Amino acid sequence: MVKVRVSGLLGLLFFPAVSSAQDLVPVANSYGQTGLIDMPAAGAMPDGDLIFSLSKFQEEERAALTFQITPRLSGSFRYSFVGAGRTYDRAFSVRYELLEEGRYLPALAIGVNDIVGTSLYAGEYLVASKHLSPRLKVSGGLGWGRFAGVGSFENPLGALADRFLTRPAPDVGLGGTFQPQVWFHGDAALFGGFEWQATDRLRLVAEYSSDAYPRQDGISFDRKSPFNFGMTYQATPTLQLSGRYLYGSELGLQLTYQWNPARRPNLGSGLDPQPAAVLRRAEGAPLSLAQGQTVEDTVRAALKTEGIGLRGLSVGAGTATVEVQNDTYRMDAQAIGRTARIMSRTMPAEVDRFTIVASRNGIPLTRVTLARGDVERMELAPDGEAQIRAAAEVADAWQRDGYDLRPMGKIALEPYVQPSYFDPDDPLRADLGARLQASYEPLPGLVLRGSVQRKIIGNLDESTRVSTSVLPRVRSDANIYDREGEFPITELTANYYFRAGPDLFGRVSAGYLERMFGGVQGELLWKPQGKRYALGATVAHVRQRDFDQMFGFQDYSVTTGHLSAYYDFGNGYHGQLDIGRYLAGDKGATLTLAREFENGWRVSAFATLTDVPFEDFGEGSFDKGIRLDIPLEWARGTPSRRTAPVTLRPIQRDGGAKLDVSGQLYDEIRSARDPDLTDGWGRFWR
Amino acid sequence: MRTATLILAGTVLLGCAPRPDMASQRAAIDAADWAAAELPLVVMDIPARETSAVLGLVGTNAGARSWGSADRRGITETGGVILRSAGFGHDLMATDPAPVRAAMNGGAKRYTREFRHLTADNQIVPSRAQCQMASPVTDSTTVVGQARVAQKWQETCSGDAGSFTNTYWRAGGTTIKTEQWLSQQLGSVTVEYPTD
Repeated sequence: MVKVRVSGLLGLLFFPAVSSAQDLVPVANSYGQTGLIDMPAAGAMPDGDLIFSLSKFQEEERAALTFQITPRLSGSFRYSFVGAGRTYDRAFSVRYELLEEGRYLPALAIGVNDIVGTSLYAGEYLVASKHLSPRLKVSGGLGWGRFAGVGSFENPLGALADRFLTRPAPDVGLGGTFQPQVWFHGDAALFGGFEWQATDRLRLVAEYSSDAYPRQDGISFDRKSPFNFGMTYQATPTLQLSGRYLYGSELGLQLTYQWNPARRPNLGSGLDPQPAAVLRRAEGAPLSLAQGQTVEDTVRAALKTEGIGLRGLSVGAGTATVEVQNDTYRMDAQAIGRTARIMSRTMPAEVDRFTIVASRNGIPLTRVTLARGDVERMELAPDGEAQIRAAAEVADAWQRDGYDLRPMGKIALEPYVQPSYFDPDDPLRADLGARLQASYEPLPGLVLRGSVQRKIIGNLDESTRVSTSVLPRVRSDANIYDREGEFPITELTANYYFRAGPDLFGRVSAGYLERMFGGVQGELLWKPQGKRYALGATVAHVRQRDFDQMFGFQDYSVTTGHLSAYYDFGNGYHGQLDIGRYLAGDKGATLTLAREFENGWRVSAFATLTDVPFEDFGEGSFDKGIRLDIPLEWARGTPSRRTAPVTLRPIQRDGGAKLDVSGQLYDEIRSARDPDLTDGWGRFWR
Repeated sequence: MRTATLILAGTVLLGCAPRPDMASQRAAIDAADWAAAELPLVVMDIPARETSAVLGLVGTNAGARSWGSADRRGITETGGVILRSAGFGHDLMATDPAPVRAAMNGGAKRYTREFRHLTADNQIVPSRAQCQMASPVTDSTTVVGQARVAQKWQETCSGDAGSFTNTYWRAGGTTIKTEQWLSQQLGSVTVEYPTD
């Protein structure tokens, strides 16, 4: 064991400041986190940033997705190919910025790599970074585990308790479990390095790495030196390219794509078409009451050009009510604003109050009442969106009166991509094909939905892995479904949506609910208007479908259901807790934590613990993963409510599996209910 | 019909080309065509988008006129002061025209303006600018290729969103051409009023 004086680290921590400027933005290291080359550095990425990095040297390959969850907390999911042993490794990491850089104090961060995983890369660190000049930054840290491979010494935390002096062998088992008894235990070592911003786009980095690469050294590459050197070139505002000379023997490359969902450099707030101008009664001649039928036709046509469906209309004494279905705008406030504009152009002059009922799937969600004069006056007021929100009456709309609902339907043929991640035989597979989707609502609330798809090209059918699950194979036969579904009916359901009372919503769905299960499911949701919480319950009895995903069923059936609590913590942070019985009959709970952006981006992490023992669950021990919901509107600029979900699970097993039914109530209704409705009010006049 | 053709021609001819020579293209539209337009039109240049468009009057509200293209992009202005833009990304959502109009009508020449923009994350962000309106000067300019003499009012502003200059050419009590800042990303646009 090499003894190194810890005072060296303390000296670094309290480095005298040469400059208080902090011009070097953090860059991602080979693990996708703020760092040097292989070693970490302190300093948070911009809040909300997503960083996707691909790095490679010799046979070592790492793909990482990092999210700056809060201004100080970040998390990463990493998928690595380990040359020696030819294995793939999945790991989660977290880090927390303890201190921001000050005039005298450095930035300080603490992190744990491989927080739930196979512990191949398990390591913990405390790292400080300080600018010596606006272009030069020095970092130094103390590491444990992987970070204590070279030049290690007795753990200084041993002064607190003797147990820190030895690092117990991790109880990895099937992987995927927390190993807190290992963290910050055993010998420690120092690491560090310098970053110099040579030009506005080019950064040079030199580091002393304390990672000994114990599995690889002498097998897949020769680690001849602890010193690494690299350069990072900022090719575009979002793309960085890095080249490195590593461990005295290897060349490495990294590609880093970093973006922030809250920003959209080219499209800004979007390319939404110009809305219809508000028409003042004094300046125009809206239709008169005598033309009752024509009013509805005119309103329907005008709303259609805005992408809004007219469900019903009544014109009474002084008040006109329209019920609209918004299938176009992510923010229902924008659809309500556009509806108010259309009403100003079409309603008889006698009408001086507009009531707009936002509905979805035939159930009325929210009633917004506006004085016509306010609509006329506030359209172009400097703070018009705030004025109209203050003047609007927003209420639950659980009963409708005075008009009948018109049938609605739609049909779409569109491409689909179905990916499969992390199969050790081929970590990324995908099918590309065409999907025909149709929905029709013949009666208010009764929605018939169907979806069939046809693969055009892809390799999902190449997976021949046989499930080793000892549980009912509710999900682990997915590759057989991929292989045998030549023309799969992915959904064929009859759904009845209804209002069960004030703030209370209901749904019953029957049919082929998802690609692996069919049956019947009921759902109730209580979501009080304006409150941050909601409670829901689902219960279903389902039978497993045949692998060809046509009309037949297999023998396995189960009754499954959950009680769900939803909470909006504010500032975009959301939580959901589901407690109940899962598809394999196991009982337990799922916790989901998400950060949402107002434009529809959502980054969430979920974990499910059930009464299935880890050894029965199999590899990974319990179900967990992260999910990105990417709004199509963000990428293409024109209004759309659709999102592309990307779920990254280290492994999909049978424990903790839930039904995947489309049109569940919470996500269907909440954009039309406060607080979400008001959160999107900035788009009212957009 | 002729008006629709103008709008279409404006959008297609001027909009799709990678800015070869917009002045000559615009000059190719005969003065008689503008005179024969069935509804009021404006021509708008958006250099940041390398686009020009002929916009037709699509609505008025208390003197504020909304102008729109065939593909539903456009602006709303009152007395030549642009209040809102739509369809370009990084659009202006709102601004108060009162201090600008007052400055051109004998009011205070130094004033504060507030501009409101919508972010990609749907938040309204106000930015303030300190502005100064210079005394008008007589200036020769062109409106859709036609030479015009006008009073040129120049407004210089500096604030949260940077520094910019807006110019308003007025003749006969109306605005015939303006160059105005919309946002940091879009920069300034030019609007010409051939039919007013």
